[in-house]
Amino acid sequence: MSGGWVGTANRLPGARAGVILLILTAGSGAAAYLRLELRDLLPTEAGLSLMREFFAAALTPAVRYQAEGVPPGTMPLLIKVLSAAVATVRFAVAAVTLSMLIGIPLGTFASESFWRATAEEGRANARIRRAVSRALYLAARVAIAILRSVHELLWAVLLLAALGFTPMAAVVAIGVPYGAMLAKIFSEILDEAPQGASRALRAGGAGRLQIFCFGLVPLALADLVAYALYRFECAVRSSAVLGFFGFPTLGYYLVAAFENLHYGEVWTYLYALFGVVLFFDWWSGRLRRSLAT
Amino acid sequence: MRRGGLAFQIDDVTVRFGDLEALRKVSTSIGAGEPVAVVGPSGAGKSTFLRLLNGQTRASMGDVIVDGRPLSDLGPGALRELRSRVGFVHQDLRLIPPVRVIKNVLAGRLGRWSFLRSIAAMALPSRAQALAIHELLERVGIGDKLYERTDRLSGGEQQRVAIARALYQEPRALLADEPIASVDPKRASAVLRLLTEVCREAGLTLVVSLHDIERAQEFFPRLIGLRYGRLVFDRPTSEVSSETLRDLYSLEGDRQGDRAGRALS
Repeated sequence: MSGGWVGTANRLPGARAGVILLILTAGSGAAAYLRLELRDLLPTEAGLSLMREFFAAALTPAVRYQAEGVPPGTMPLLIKVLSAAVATVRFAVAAVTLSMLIGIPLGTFASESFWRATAEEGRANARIRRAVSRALYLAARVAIAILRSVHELLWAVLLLAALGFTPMAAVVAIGVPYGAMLAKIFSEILDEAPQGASRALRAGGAGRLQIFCFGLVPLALADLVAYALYRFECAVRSSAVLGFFGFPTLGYYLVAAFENLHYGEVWTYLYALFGVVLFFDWWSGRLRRSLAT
Repeated sequence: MRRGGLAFQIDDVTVRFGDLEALRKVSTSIGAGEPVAVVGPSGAGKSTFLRLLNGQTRASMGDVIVDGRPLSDLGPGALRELRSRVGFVHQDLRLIPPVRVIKNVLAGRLGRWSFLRSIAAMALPSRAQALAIHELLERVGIGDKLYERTDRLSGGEQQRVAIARALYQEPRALLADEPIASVDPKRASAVLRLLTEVCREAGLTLVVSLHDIERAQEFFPRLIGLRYGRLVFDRPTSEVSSETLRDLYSLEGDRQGDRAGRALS
């Protein structure tokens, strides 16, 4: 691999400079076209006071409602924050589960080492089998590219229109593009795993699925789990944002509090989100370490 | 299943990789239960010769006949069955690094298990399996490593795991590719003693490729000498003269001519 790099660089000594120049030209061209001006980074007088107020509230997150005259019997604020945090995690767990159901088979089919491990020598109809496996491989690659190119918020818009306002729409909106991302990374991890063990199992007479399951997957497992956990963290953020569409996650209440200028409450919801993300970061770190040892 | 060693017959075999000839018109036979060392300088085709015997490498011309059956006639099922009865110790070991030793050894028997059975065994080895593997590991000298993670073991210990995996196959032949290439000199003799003893006791055919000619002479009654893909000699160790050996390993001299003869035009 590196040899190829060196060879290319030697053949085209100006290539790297050319690429850098191209990026710089494209960047400044886009900035000019969009009329980006540094002056726009400076907030207006009103904006400045709003920002000051907002960030000052970071030090004093609300522990009870900032609105006057909350009707009696309303859920206390902190309970509401907690339930929103739990709902956020719930949507994220459901979405990541769905994404694994999509991503594991799709990623397997999209990996070259799966087809290599499961190719059998000496079959009479080897050519047909090769054509079929090639078709499945390409189909998986194309499916991944298509599903992944649409952002989860766009999926949410489409699915809310198609399915109506149901939790299923939110879960599918996150689960489908995430499934495709998992599939892409899974296939790359499988392709990067060393081939020695699977060759040895083949030499010992193991069958195709056995070679894949015991000679390839164990070598990739730690990376697969690490990436799935990272995706889960992303799903927590996405699920919070899907509150903007009205799902009862942190984003829903956060926007409402922001629109009412209750910045203390906004910060309470934000801290809840930080808390959830930090907790799962800590937990996934523990899990990864226990897998690596 | 019939036990006892497998007999191999290599019948005028040429192996080509692209325009490189790894073996050229090699013919010999190895009897059931016979121990043989394949010797020669690196690049002589020793690994190809071993890989030929269980069909990991296919002959471009000629054929290999195992227990009376030509490998070229075997379908995938029959080939798998044959391979499940041939233990192969790879030079680079090819273990599954992040799993426990017991699973690496269990993996030796995958070739004879259905998929469901192998899932069950790999997930939860039975007590009988654990006992049998423990006994095998004792035999190769690492009885205390049964539940150790394989990538935590030293190189020498991992090599013993590879040997145990091959033996757990209950093979009828054992093929070992440079089994002492990465073992320190003191261990090297122990490894060869282990391989030859195990195979003698169980009546397994043993074919070992060796760079180290002195150890080959010490442990094997028959030597096959390869050089640039050609069979140079094949005779009892006692009849291999030091002159023959000097010719086998002499570096320069006719090398240019050999190269030219080896490359296909």
